[in-house]
Amino acid sequence: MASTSVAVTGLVRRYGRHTALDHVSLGLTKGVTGLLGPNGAGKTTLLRILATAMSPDQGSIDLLGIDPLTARGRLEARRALGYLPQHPGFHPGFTAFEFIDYVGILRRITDRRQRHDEARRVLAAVGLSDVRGKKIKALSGGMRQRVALAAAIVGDPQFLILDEPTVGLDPKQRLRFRELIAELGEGRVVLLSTHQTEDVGALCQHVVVLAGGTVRFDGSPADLSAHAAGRVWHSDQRDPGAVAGWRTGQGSVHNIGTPPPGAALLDPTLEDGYLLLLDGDPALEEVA
Amino acid sequence: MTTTLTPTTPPRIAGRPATVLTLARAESWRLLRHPVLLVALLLTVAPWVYELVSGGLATRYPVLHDEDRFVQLPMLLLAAGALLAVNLAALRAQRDNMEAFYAVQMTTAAQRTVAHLLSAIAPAVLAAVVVTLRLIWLAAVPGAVGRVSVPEAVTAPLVVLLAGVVGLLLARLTTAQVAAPLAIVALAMLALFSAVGPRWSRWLGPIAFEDELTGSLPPDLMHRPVVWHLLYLSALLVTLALIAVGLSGARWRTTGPAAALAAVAVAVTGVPQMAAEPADVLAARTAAATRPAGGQECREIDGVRFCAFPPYEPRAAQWADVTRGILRWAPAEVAGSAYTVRQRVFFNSSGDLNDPVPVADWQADDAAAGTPDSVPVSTSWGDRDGYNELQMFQFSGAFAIRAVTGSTTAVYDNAPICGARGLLILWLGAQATPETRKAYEHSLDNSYGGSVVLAVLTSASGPSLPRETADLARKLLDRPAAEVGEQMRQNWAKLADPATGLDEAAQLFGLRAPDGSLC
Repeated sequence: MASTSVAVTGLVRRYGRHTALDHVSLGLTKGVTGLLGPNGAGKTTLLRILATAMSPDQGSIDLLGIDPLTARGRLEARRALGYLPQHPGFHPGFTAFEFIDYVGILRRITDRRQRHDEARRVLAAVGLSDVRGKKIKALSGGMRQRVALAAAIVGDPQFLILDEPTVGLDPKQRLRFRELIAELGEGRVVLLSTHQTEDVGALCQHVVVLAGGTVRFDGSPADLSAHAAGRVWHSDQRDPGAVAGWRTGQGSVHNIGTPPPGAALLDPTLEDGYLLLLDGDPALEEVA
Repeated sequence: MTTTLTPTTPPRIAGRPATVLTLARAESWRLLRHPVLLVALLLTVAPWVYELVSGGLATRYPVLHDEDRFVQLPMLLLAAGALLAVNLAALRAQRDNMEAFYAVQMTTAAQRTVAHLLSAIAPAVLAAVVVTLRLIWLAAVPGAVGRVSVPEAVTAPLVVLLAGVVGLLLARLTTAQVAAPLAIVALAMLALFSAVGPRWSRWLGPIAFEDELTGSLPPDLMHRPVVWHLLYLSALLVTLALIAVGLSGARWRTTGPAAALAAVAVAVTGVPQMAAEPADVLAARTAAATRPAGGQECREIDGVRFCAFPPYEPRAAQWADVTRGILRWAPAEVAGSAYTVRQRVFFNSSGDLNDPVPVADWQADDAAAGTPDSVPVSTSWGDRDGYNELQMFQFSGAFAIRAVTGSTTAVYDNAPICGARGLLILWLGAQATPETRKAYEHSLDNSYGGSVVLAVLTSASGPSLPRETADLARKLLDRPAAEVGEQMRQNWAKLADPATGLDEAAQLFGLRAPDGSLC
């Protein structure tokens, strides 16, 4: 029986002197795994390696029981995975249906009837049945993003790699996307790379934080939040001892770091845990 | 879970060949609907459609073994369209920022390149359809002669396919979209160079031009190594295709040697087509130019003997229309004389426009064939353009000279034909058929100073008729032909007499005598 998980062991990838991934090991199971990390953390490199777009310098990958680092395994892996790039492109002159149909051919579905059925299915899944005959250039940004997601799920891949799929979407569209991703996570391995901690909190059963090319956290969202337990408080003014602090809509200052004695502690969020985890990282300096 | 998120039956995954063919089919349909290709198609066929609907410019007397060559030049527009459209299709992934997505699909870049290669067959098939329709249309014209050469007809579709492959190769070499238009300009310059450059370069370009100033030639007098050229183009196509596939990530270990082998085939097939014209063709040309009688077939229509090179024999029907139109106004003794019309070819081998036709050779050949004073007629005939139309009028004029003077001596003289006989000759020649009349009027439109020159074929030999004669002839042509023709017949002897002046002829027809020099 084929494996239903993805395991990465000792992955190393260098660009010249820069080490983008430094012995990264992690395991993904069915459900949605959030991949968090500041810019330059190595997220996109990891995703591109998992998507078979590039090879690591070192390490091994078990992708649903397939070794994608061999020529034969790469093809099998591509059959099993769907990829939504960070900046998905489109053929603006194609209709949504034509585009998905074309992707179907690229995924080797040559039977016209089956391919058309599949195109109709995935477009229905992302709620675009009504506009399938429209040129992509005539669709809104959110609709285009859904077309990209539809393209990623053609052929029913069991491992989905989604690189910041909700960037640029309005709240309603983000909500719709969350629903879709949550549904996709039922029965599939979904790796969701994002900067949106609230998306991770809302969707993921598992979260991995990558920074400086290494895994800084691998656990549940609750564990990541718990990382900040007792280290979040509010005050009237920015506390000088806080690692980061910002004035909230209620007028008080939300501080994270080492609270002063007697501070009014708050329940930590996933974002608090994430920020504290990256304490000292240049990304956190920006927040502070 | 939404039921649509999981297919009820997982789609079947096909093998590589089936995938490439399916992708090729999809790209073919997109290519055939590409605006660039459609515009190129429109520009290619527009002149032919105009011919068809206007009627005025229609080719009524096509020579099919020339038309199969003429059809190639406009098809270069379609080839340019194919080059551009295939290039744009192959660059679609880069242009639309889809490379990251394409890179992780089950179809590799090399397989996509092969699919694009196969899709280039679609515009080639379109070209084949256009060429076939054009040639069928021309072959169906009642005045058509000759036969279409299949290799010539295949050339244009192959060039369109080659253009598509060039477009694909460019896409694999550079993502710059300006590359394809620049390549089209370069290929146009290559075609121009091969058309006007040294003889060895004639077959270097996509299509090979002939010296069309010579006029139509019987097929056996032409040296066109078309089959070698097709092999050369095919080898070039395979070479470029293999390089394109190799550049797409296919194994160079396989594509490299194959491309090198194909490049050798380009050289091997390219050399024979550049070879000098064979001695037997040159000998046949000399014979046809100086002693054509032996290679011609003759038939008699209304007492006139018409001798033509194969496959121009059916043209005798059109020549007979002209001779009939002239002899109907001649007295019985003139109309009943023995006339021969002989088709001639003239090679202006030195390129000097003052080269005369080989009259002595022609007369000797005629004497040997028992057809003295045969009237020369060109292999070109029709109203396709000024040259062919001119040949029509030159023949009617030459035949009128033969009928009026009783010999063809004046046909080859560079002297002016003066007096009343000039008017008789010009009127007879012009009024012979509606086409000769139109040709005469066009010849006057293009005349310097209003005089008419009846040069034989494309030579410098031939008489001229002064402007005053042409003016009077035009006035007579405006009158009913039967009325003027009857007067011509009744006064034939006087009008044909070289001693009768043009002023006398004018008086005879109630016209004002012309002023100025009467030569």
